[in-house]
Amino acid sequence: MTATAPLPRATARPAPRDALRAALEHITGALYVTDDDAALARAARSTVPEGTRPALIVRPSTRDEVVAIVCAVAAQGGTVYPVSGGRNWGYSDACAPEDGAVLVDLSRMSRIVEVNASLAYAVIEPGVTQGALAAHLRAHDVPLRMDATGAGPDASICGNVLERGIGYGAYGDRGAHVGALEVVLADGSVLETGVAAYGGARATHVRDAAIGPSLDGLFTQSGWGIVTRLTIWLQPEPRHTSYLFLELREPRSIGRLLAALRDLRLHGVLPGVVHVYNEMRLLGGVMRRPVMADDGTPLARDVAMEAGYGALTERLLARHRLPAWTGSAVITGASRAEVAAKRRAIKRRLSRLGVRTTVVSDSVVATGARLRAMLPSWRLFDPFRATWDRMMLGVRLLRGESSVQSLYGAGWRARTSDASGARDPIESGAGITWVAPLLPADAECANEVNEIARTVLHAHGFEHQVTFTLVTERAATAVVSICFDRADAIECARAAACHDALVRAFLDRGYVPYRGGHRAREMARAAAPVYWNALDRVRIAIDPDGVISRGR
Amino acid sequence: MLMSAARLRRAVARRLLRAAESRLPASLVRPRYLQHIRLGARDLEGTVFKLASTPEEREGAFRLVHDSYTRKGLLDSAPTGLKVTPYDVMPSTAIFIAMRGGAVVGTLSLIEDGPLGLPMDDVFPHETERVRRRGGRLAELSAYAIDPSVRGRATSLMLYNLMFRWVWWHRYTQDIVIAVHPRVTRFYEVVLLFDRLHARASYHRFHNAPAEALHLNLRGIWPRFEKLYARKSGGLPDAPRGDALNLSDFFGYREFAEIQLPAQPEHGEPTLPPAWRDDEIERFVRTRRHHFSGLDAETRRLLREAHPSLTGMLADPPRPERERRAAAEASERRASGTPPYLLDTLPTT
Repeated sequence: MTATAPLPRATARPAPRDALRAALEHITGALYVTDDDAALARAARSTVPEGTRPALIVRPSTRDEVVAIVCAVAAQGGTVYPVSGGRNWGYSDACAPEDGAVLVDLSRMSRIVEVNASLAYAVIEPGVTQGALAAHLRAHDVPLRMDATGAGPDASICGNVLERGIGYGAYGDRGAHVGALEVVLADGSVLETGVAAYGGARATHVRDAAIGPSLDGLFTQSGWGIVTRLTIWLQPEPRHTSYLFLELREPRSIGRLLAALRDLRLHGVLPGVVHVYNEMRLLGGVMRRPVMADDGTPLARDVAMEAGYGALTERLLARHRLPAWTGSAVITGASRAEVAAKRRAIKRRLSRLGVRTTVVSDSVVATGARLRAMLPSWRLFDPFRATWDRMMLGVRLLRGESSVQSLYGAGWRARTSDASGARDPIESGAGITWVAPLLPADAECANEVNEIARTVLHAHGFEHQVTFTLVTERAATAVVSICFDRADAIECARAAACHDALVRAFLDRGYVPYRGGHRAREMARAAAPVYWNALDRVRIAIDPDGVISRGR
Repeated sequence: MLMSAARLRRAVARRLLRAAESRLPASLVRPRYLQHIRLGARDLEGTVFKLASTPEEREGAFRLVHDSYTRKGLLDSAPTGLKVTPYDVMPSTAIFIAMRGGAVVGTLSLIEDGPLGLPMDDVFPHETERVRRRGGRLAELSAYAIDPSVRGRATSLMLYNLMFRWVWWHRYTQDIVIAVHPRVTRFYEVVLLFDRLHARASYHRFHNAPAEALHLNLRGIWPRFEKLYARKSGGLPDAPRGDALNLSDFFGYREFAEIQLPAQPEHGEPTLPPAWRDDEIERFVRTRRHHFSGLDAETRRLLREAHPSLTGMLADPPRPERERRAAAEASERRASGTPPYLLDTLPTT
């Protein structure tokens, strides 16, 4: 046998991804770094029509690990994309703007660092979820209330705050109730914002800015730094609470209703955020869209009459007892008399518009819950049970108990999977993308926004599903839902086209989105070039190589 | 016995009428079909329409199908007196039944497409594949049987009603296929709006009975139902003169105390049919081995996957010695690291 020299081995220099992987494993341990195909494919799934695939996923547990990760990725010329819980549903989820980023999943950083009961704040890490903080407050008998959103108990508070999410209570404008951000920057330095910048400052957790300009806003909806800690202000448990539910039968009166609610907020009668849902939005929360009406025609009371769906829509809405508009808000006071006076003022103002109001106090809720538990399971009581349960969903949110209520509607067109989408719409194949224009809280604008939404949605074959939210005393937002079936490629394309058409139509009429996915941000950028150019210059100063959230 | 002249004339006339009807557009024939569809309050008295959920109800349905098919000469009598297939015990198969006086007097099954495929794949593989390619939920209607004692009492119409409610509000089924005797094709086409898949075949499993493949596309069917049926006078369930049904109302909205479907999940998530309990399926398969003995390995695997408690009973049989030795050798080769394609070419000395 002829002896042959062995072939020279390939050069041992690892590919950059392998080198990066090794570096990250060194930082967090191999258990918390993955480039497993299934995990990456899972991270690439999105409720919006298009997702992106990361190159690696790393799960740090401390700020120092985050710093080391940023430095390691920067050294390789890569980019990181931080996600707190990855549940930015309907707004690009956990997906970076581009493929190939290192996804920094901060969910292991889930420490509640401090809760101060007298000054009413909590210092939390990004992995702290709504459910975890609420449970902590309950377990330690802290008389503070966390504002909750409809994203569910597993959603990160920090992630939602940094995306300027909106809750349900008096502190529902969440971005306005945080401070002392601890941010890891692209060069690996750690920045503390506001009063916290002055090491040992006494007012660190109670005010968002000290002398000089405030930087907090730079790290919301930007991803220009990785926020590893922040302070969230909590609301003391009110002495007396009642819950307001309102129903409006006239579909075209949303403008007048919003204006009336604005007046009530401006005069301090309503203390917090008010949400008003239209009938199709709520219908999506209680059932899936009937297949028998699947021919590209939207379900609606009016426009689809000639297509034969008018009667069907009427029947469905009647079956679930849904009026044209349904709203909820909380009423609080230091005494029963104060709450009663506010209730009278609300009824007086809204009854003029034909709004039916129901106000239930905490004690009624407690009694009702006992009665509900005692009811036999006869069909006779089904309507009562359904109405009560729906009301309780609202009560829980208004009380600051996180709920997945807003997500129920995401499954409206997802009918091909048996998986439950109650806590994660991605699992059930649900497709949802939201367009959320800001508007002044006046009747004319609300009517116009509602009409734009209706026209564009119907033109693209989607139902008119919208929620109006009075975020502050003066400003409202309309959250327009585009629900689609992710398993249906044609419907996905239609949803993407509808999203763009809606954003464009709103921008053309002066309604700028308050939030959006990557696509909406690109469109907003084109509408305000001077502003975005200035932002680009700031960004280059902070992160010239685009190490964090490149492309965002 | 010789047929009287009058009866012969009637039979010939019926045949001629049927032949003529099959060539006429559905819209012309529909009124005649609808004339015969009636439902009075008394038709439903004492009957409950539901999904089979207990072993007794399921067996009642299997027995009814067996008796009906053997009576029609479609099937040889089975020693168990039941007609059971692996599809019948899959978790997504819904068995609709009509119960009267504690007995199953009508049944119809809806078999969802899955890893096992559909029963129709055997005879109409191209047609089912064509429908399957559209995507979405596909199911086959099968195992329809009515007890002779309730024939003509609208039992079958109510079973279809139950089925429509199930697919519309619980399963979100998008396509339904069915193989029917060509004699009844026209009913499905004219009344229930099925389309022909233009395929006829002999059903070898049913003594080569002729069968025709039909398809119902449920997407956007509502306007067709409304257009055709919404204007018909409806009088359910108290129609004194047995008015023709308003079928869109009948299938879509009308509440019937006699129909018992599970409550819809809170947020409209798809509902699965009542599940077999582990002990139920185990007992059923153990006592009805006859129906599960000749299954191929893949079907057995899928059944085990659907019902893990059957793992022992539906285990793969021991492999023949030669096959076993080959498998052992292959495993040895894998362990030694020698690529199998080299084994034959390597010198043995």
